[in-house]
Amino acid sequence: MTRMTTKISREGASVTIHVEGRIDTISAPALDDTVCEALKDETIMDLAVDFAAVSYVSSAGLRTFLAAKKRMEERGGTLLLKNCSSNVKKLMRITEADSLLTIE
Amino acid sequence: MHMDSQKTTIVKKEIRLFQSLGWKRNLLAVAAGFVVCTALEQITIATSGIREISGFDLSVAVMPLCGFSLAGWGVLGFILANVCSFCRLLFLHQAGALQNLLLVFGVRLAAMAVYCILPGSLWYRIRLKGEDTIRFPRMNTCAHVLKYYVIILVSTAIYVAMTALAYQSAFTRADLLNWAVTYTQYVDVALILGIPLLVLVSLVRNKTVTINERLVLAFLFTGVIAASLGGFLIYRTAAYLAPQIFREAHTYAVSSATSVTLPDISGSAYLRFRSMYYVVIAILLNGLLAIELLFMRRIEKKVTEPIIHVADALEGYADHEEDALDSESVITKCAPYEQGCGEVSSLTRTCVSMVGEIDAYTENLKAITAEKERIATELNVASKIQKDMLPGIFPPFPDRPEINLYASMLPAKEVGGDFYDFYLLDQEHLVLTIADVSGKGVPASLFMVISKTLLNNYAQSSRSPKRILTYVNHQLCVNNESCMFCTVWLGILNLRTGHMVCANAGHEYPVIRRRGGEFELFTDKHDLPLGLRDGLLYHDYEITLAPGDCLFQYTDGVPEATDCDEKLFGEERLIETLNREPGASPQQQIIHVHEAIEEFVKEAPQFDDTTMLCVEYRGSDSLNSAKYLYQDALAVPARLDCLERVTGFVEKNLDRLECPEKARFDIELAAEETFVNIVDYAYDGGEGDLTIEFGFDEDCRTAVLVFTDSGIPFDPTIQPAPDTSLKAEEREVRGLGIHIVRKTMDEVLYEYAGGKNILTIRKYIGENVQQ
Repeated sequence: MTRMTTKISREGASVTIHVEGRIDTISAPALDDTVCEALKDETIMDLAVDFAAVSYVSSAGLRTFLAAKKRMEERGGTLLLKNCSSNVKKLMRITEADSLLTIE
Repeated sequence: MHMDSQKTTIVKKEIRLFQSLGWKRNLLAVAAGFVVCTALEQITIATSGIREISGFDLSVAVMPLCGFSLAGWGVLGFILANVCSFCRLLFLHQAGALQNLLLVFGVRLAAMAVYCILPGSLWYRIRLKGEDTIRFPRMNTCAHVLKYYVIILVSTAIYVAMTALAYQSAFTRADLLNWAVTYTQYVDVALILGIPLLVLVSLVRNKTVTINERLVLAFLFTGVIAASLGGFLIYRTAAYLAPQIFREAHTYAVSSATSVTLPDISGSAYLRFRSMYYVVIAILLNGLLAIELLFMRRIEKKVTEPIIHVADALEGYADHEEDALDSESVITKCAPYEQGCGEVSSLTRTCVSMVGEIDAYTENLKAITAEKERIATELNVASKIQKDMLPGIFPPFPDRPEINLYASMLPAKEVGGDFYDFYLLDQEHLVLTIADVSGKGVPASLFMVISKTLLNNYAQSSRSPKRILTYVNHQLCVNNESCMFCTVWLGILNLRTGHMVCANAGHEYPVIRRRGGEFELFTDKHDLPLGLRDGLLYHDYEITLAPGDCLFQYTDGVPEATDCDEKLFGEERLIETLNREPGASPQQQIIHVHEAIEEFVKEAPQFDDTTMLCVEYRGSDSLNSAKYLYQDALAVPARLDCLERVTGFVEKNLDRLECPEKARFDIELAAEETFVNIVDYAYDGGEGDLTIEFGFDEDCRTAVLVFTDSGIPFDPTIQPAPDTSLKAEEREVRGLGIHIVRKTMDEVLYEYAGGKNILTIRKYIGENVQQ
């Protein structure tokens, strides 16, 4: 049973990854691949991750997003994590990732 | 060696004294010489019957002696005296031919000077065989006497020859005879006066007289007596037979006293008589001296020299600086003197055998000492082994805050028979043992080892003090030929409840202090000591320790510690000491008791082993022993692919508790982070397992997860918080997960016990929770 699924939608230079399920140590690599896939096109400048359907994130997922953020910065783009639940926000706060990532 | 330097100093002093005096002393010496010479001259003149034509002069005869002692300056005095007497004589007679007289006198003076100086200088220049330093003339060996004699003979011969040539240029047979007689006269005086004088000087200087000196004196004395007797007999016979000789003698004496030239007496009968007389005396004296020399030489060879050699050899033996006594060289050196049946050889044999015996004795002693040392070393090792058998690391169970335990054992001899023991039977039960084996030393220690092992082994399976003691007693009795026994007190304490089951096999009463109270003897029921009688059944009893209670056990070495007046320390003093500070920690209490015993016994030796065990029960109020209800447990390999199982396990249990969402997220997160941490690091890339237990603390409505792994010890609670100011990828990778756990959980507790990392995380999950 896959605990996590992703969907990529694209609008011009922005890409949104809709994630559904749990982002934990096992599923984080898959997410990483998805992000790589999405960013293959060098023209992509805005990446957004939709957390609406995400029930759980652990530190592995966090690292994925931090790596993605770095890649976006390299190309001068942005990363946005949107629709984060309070739990996710709390995690970001604990790890002080909220100073590095843009969270909604 | 010390003696030699003393002798050298004396010798140097002698020579210095007589050869390099200050000017005042020189003057004194001159004056002394002058006085002595003049005195002797006057004596000669006064007893003019003895004064002979050939000019025998007493003052001249003693010149060699002056040469030995007053050297140089005294000689000057003598010469001055002679000059004066000559001048006097000259004035008296006013004889013509002054020139001739002066020549004669000059030669005479030179002869006298030679006679003064030559003996002394010859003595100090001629070195005898084996002599290191030449000392003042001393007649203590044959060689010295002979040296003196020869020097006198030579010097006198030179003097007489010079004097004769001064007076006469041509010699008739009678003249030669005359001068020969004069020669013997001078030699005799040098013997009769000289040797006793030298012995006297030696006596004054050394405070003692040697055998040879006594012998020489004895022989001389005999010689003098013999010569006197002989002379007297001859004289008397002559006077009887030929009285005219003496009339002649008187005439000659008168004429020679008043003239400086020698009257012609050749052909005189008196002369012949006189010659015979003096020759006989000379023969007697010199003959006896020669006999003495032979006699002395024999003694020296047979007695003195062997004794000196043996003494030398033995001196070297005792003086040896190295450890090994050099008996070989002693035996070799003494070998030549062992033959014969005389006293000296007997002494030598005794000395040699004594040396041999000392050697044998020393060897034996060395062997015994080495053996003793070996035994002492082995006993030390045995003592160490025995010491290592008793648990000696304190605190013994740092992860068990329910108890504070301390114990000590001080043996009386190198190895003792007392012991204590404590060990955990399982997580909840602690066994405490204290025992005292009858007797001391090696037998007691062997019995102690057996008893301790038996008790320990059987406790593991039996868990009931009375059954343990019964069984061990049987085992000890079975092969106990030597009738040894030991007293034992054994208690099994339940750490959770404080409930203790104890048994006492003839041991002292334990001392118990209730919380806030004082130490009191707890008079428990006693059974007989172990090892006395087979088949005995033992009993136990129960105590409950409340948190804060303290139990103190000891062996009889404590109350029976004795001071110099044979007074005992006693139980009362022990309890008094414990109660000086009832709340002190077990270690403190034991130290106090040790100090009190030391103060009490002072210098008296320790008679018995002193063993003490003290345990304070703190109760199980600590978090670790809270009332959990472990509802579930999961054992998984530490692999990432097992994360799903872990998550499923946690979710299942949280579901059951109907855990609210917020807490749930946190708990799941913390569980995952902990699990991943263990997977990544606990086994350092290798394989391993871990166990997760899920519990719920009803009292504080707290979910409890306990992660147990047997990997590398790692305490997450002491890791520093990650530096979140660093960029994401720079943060310590491991630190982030732990940081999350610490931040999300209410409590994170770590302990390392039994080779396992045990991490307990707790989270309050709120009200309205159903079991």
